Amino acid sequence: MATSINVTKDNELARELNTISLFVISAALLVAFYYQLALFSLPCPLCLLQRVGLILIGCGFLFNVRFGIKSAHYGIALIGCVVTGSISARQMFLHILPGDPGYGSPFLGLHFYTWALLSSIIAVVAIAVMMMLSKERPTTEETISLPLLGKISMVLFSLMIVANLISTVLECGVGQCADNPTFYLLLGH
Amino acid sequence: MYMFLPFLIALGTVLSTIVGKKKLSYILWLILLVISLFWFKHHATDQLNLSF
Repeated sequence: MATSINVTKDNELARELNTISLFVISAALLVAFYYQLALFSLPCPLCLLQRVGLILIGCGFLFNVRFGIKSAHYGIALIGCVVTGSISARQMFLHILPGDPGYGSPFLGLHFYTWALLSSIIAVVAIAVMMMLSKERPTTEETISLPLLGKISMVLFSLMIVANLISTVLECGVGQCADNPTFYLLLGH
Repeated sequence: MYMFLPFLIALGTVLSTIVGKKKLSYILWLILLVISLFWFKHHATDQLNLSF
């Protein structure tokens, strides 16, 4: 039993870093959501898929926070990075030609798809550092005690997914989204 | 395509993680990945007029 406690303690730093990463992913989703609501900037299908990509990355961090540190969970987050990067690169190439105003409102001088590509590259580096700082040991469910901050990060992440689910249903109904959406389908404006 | 579906599956993944259902969480994440890639392929139809 004493060993189990040590195992949890050993990876405290890695767990904290994963919790922080989960907060960062939720914050990124929150910023995108704020722009959608405040500036009435409706997300296109590729924009929504980039949010899904961020959620795929977040799931890797979430698994580490909830189930304990595993290299498989980092692998999950890395695959999420590749998916997010690919989708955002595709959208960036669509608007890369000179004179193209880009899609949507820029944030700190860059469009959201460019930020998504940069974020996925930064996430790869962050995951690499976290993997270096993590110690993978055999753990059991019982050894995982969830700190309050970890619980808050999980709830916040869930809330962001619920918010995106509701807004997507309002925007696109239960079908396909328009390529350049200008109004919420279910709200009629 | 049903754009709400990835978010619905993501919600299922997170909820199953929170209640501690490890295997179900992994399976749902995998389904989410496959659907995301499939939706991406569906929406990336225009030929890019760029040289690589």
